[in-house]
Order: sequence, then structure tokens, then C-alpha cells
Amino acid sequence: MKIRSFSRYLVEALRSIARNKMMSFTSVIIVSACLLIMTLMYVVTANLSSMLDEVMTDVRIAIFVEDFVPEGQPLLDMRQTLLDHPHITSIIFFTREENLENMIESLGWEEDLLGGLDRTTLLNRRFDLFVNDVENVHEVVSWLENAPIIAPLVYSISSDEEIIGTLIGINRTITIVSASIIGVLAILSVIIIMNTIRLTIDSRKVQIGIMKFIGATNGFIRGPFIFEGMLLGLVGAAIPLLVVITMYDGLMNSLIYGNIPDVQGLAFLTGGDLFPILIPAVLGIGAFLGVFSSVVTIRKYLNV
Amino acid sequence: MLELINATKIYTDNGAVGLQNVDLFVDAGEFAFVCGHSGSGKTTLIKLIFCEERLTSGHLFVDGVDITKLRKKEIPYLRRRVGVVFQDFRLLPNKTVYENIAFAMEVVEASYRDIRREVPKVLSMVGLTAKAKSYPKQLSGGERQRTALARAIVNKPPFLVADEPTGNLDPDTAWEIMQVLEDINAIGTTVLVATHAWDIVDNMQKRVIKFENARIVRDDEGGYADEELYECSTDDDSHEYYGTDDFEDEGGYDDED
Ligand SMILES: Nc1ncnc2c1ncn2[C@@H]1O[C@H](COP(=O)(O)OP(=O)(O)O)[C@@H](O)[C@H]1O
Ligand SMILES: [Mg+2]
Repeated sequence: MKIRSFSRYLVEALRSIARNKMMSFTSVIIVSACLLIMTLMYVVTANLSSMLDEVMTDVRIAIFVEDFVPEGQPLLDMRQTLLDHPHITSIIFFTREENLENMIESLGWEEDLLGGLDRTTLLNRRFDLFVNDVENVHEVVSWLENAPIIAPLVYSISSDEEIIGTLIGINRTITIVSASIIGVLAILSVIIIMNTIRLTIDSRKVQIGIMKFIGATNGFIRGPFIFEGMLLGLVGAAIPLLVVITMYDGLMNSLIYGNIPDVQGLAFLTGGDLFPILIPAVLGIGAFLGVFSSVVTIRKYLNV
Repeated sequence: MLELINATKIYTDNGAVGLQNVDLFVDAGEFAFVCGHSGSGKTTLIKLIFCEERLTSGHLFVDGVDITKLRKKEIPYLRRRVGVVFQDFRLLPNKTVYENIAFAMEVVEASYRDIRREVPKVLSMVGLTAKAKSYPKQLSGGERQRTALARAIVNKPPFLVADEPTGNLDPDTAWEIMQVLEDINAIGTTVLVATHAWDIVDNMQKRVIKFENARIVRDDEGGYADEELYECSTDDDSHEYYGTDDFEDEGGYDDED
């Protein structure tokens, strides 16, 4: 394709858009709505995932060992049982003394506060388990609670399973709900763009007929329609991107510098983290929706 | 330039026979008329030549190429070697005479330089230099057909086919168009004109290929359309201008008879 044909396609496409103002406008709005929800969903789920990751690096499943488990081989066997679980990647063992020291340290107590207590019996021995994926924490916990091979040896379990569960749940719900809305809007976008392109094809029937008998190739005839679809998709993508890019900074600023306590300390992604992926992806999806719709329409209504 | 071997065209939608076992040879540089009653197969032949219709059986060579074997992708390149002119002109109403002609070159992706050089040449050849900036609706029928002729030859095709090119024109204008067609033939273009303007055929003294019921019944050099002169003289009254008709639309321009 020559550069000049390329610019011709562009000019023809712009002309059609200008001529079909109402339909073009509707197409752009629907594509925008679809991609706005898609963008918002991405922003929210990306942030949730990053929070989950952060929580995950800190969270381990801590299990306290029953007192009756003897030191030595039985304890080593228990450690091996834990390590054999497919989701458990590594283990740290803490003796009673280490546990106590950790606790004293984290509470900021003075050593002598414990006075004459027997440090060797005060706390249970502890294993900290690292799980290969946040999503598996629940499964591992219920294994620890119920499996005959391990459950009797476990005195108690402590994990942030609930927080993790909530985050995962929110993430899933957002993904499912927005995926369905996006699906519906994407189908709607395709239908509206198809109708717009169809109108253009109808208004160009005479010209298309003439082009055919003077020897225009299929590509040359179809080019402007594909460009029209692509432009509609790209403009439809640019609008939500602009909205989200401008709003995101404001939102983040008010969350980070404002006084919303729950949010402080959690890791939000910056625009710099998100936009390098978001911008090309949304523009790409917009262009794809547009081109896909024109190609389908051309196949249906433009027999060359 | 054109050769048909045992060519048969049957329209699949209604089973109508367009051509029935036709053999025909037209040499490069010839000027030939195709005449016959309405429904005798003239338009069918023209459409087959530029691949708007495809043969049912037999062979059809255009410019040495067996176009019965042509793939869809190759059709545009065949059409660039066959200029086509219709009764209803088929100009773009929103383009000037100059732009309509230049459009044919844009479509084949010619350079601007070539377009600026070639369009004025064909404009002067068809005698429309003064009307270059006019729009089709500002032109007479004859001027419109000259524009269509200029568009058909601007890419220098070796072959020009015309389907009832004077069907919408009064006799004097029709005669002028014939002179332009002769000029185009004189520069080496093979010209094939389907018509039932019997008086013109008689006057031109060219080769006449006469169709009847989808078959060739007569093929004479310097021929006459003689016996048709009287019985068909009223046909011209029914010709109308189909300016907005779609090229693809079957009911559009081929039922002018
Ligand atoms: N597109 C078409 N579909 C079906 N039948 C057609 C079509 N075009 C022409 N025919 C039939 O083919 C025969 C030849 O028609 P045509 O080539 O148009 O004749 P002419 O141009 O000499 O009037 C006629 O019987 C006509 O009805
Ligand atoms: Mg005809």
C-alpha cells in the first residue's frame, strides 16, 4: 500500500465520519463506555492484586505445635510432612525461646518483665509456612485443620486468611461483574460500528460500483471503511483513557494525602506503573473493535 | 484481443440463456459493433469481457488471457486493461469532469505527476478541455459520455467496450460520440460497441456482429444492420437515465430494453 493511498483512506474515512455525524457519535460513545469500564476494572483489579502481593510477602501461615510432639525425629517428620504439601514452598522453625524473644521484641517489653517465668515452656514451638500462591492459603489452612496426618499435631493456626479471602473475593466479583458488562458493551460497540460502516457503504454504492469497473483492488475499495472503523475505535478508546488518566492522579492524591485511614499504608499503583500498559492496551482494543466490526460488515455487505 | 470459444452463459438465478455456444474472434486494433434485438445477449457479452459475469462453459480470452480461469484477486488487473462505457455514463456527481477522469488513475494508484500529465491529454482528445471544472449535472448528455470515455481510456487500456453508449443521446450527439470512438480506435485501441442504433451502424461501415437469441447469426465486415432499421426504431424511446443505479444492482441498467 502506498503512503498516498493510506492518506486517501484516512481522508475518505474522516469524510464519512463527518457525514454520518449521529451514527459516528453514537459508536464513539458506546465504545467509550465499554472501554471506560474496562479501564476502571483494570485499574481497580491491578491495585487489588498489588495489595494482595504486598500482603502476601508479609503473611505466612503460622502453626503452633502441640506440646506432646517430641523434639528430634518426630518434629523433623512433621516438618517433612508440611514440606511435602504441594502448595508449601518453604518453612521456618522457631523454638519456644525464639518465639518468646520475637514476641518480647515486637511488643517492646523489657527482658526482666518476665521475671522468673520458665522461658522454655511459655510458648509453643512454631512453624511458619510459605505458600506458593495467595489463592492457595485457604486450601492449606483447611488441610492443616483437617488432614489426619497433620491436624492432631497442630495446636493452633494463625493466618491472615480472612483478609486475603476478602481481597480475593472483591477481586473476583469486580472481574466477573465488569467482564459481563464489558462483554455486553463490546457486542453493542460492534453492532453500532457495523451499522455506521454499513451506512457509509450504502452512501458510497455508486462510487464503489464505479471503482470496481475501473479496476480498483479489493484492498483499495475496503481501505477507507476499515480506517473508518479503526478511527471510531481509537477515538472511543482515547476518551476513557483521558478521563481515567486525569481522574487517577486526583483520586490517588486524595487517597494518599487525605485522611482515609484504611487506605494508608496500602500500596497503590502509581500512574507510572499503570499507564504504560493501560494506554497501548486500551487503544489496541479500541482499534481492534473498530477494525473487526468493519471487516465483518465489509464481508457481509460489500461483495467485491 | 478478444476470443470466445464455444462460450455459453446461463444466468443461475433464472436460468436465462445469455450466450449460447458462441465462437468469436476480434483482432487487436479492430472496431466492431455488436447488435441485435433487446435480450439477444449484447450486454451479457460486454459484462463477460470485464468479468462482471463469468462464463458457464467454454473459453473467453481477453488480451491473450483466458479469463474463465481468472481468480477474483486478478479481476481488477484485467479491468485496468479493458475500458468500459455504459449507457448511463456512471459519473460521480460530486466530482468535476477533471476529477472524475483523475479518479480512474487514483484508483490504480498512479502518481500525481502522471495524473496531471494524462488527464489534460484525454480531455482534449474528447474535446472537453473547456469543461474540466464542470460537474456532471452541468453537462449535456453528450458531454457526460465524453467524460466517461475519457475516464475509460485515461489508463491507456488496449481494449474499450461500450454498452449502448448512445442510448441516452439524440442522433446528432450520438454521431459525435461515434467520432470520438473512432478517434480512440485510431490510436490503436480495440473498440467493441454494443448498440441497436441501426442508423449509426449502417453509416459507420464497420464490422457488425449480430446476435439473436444468445447466438451470433451474422458477422460482416463493413456491414449494415439493414433489416432492423424499421422494426426497432422505437426502442430508443424507452431509454432513460439511470444515474443513481448501483453497479451491482441487477435490475438497474441491463433492463433498458
Ligand atoms: N443479470 C441477469 N440475470 C438473469 N438474466 C439475465 C441477466 N441479464 C440478462 N439476462 C437475460 O439474458 C438474456 C440476454 O440479455 P442481455 O445480454 O441483457 O441482452 P441485450 O443486452 O442484448 O438486450 C436475456 O434473456 C435476459 O433476460
Ligand atoms: Mg443490453
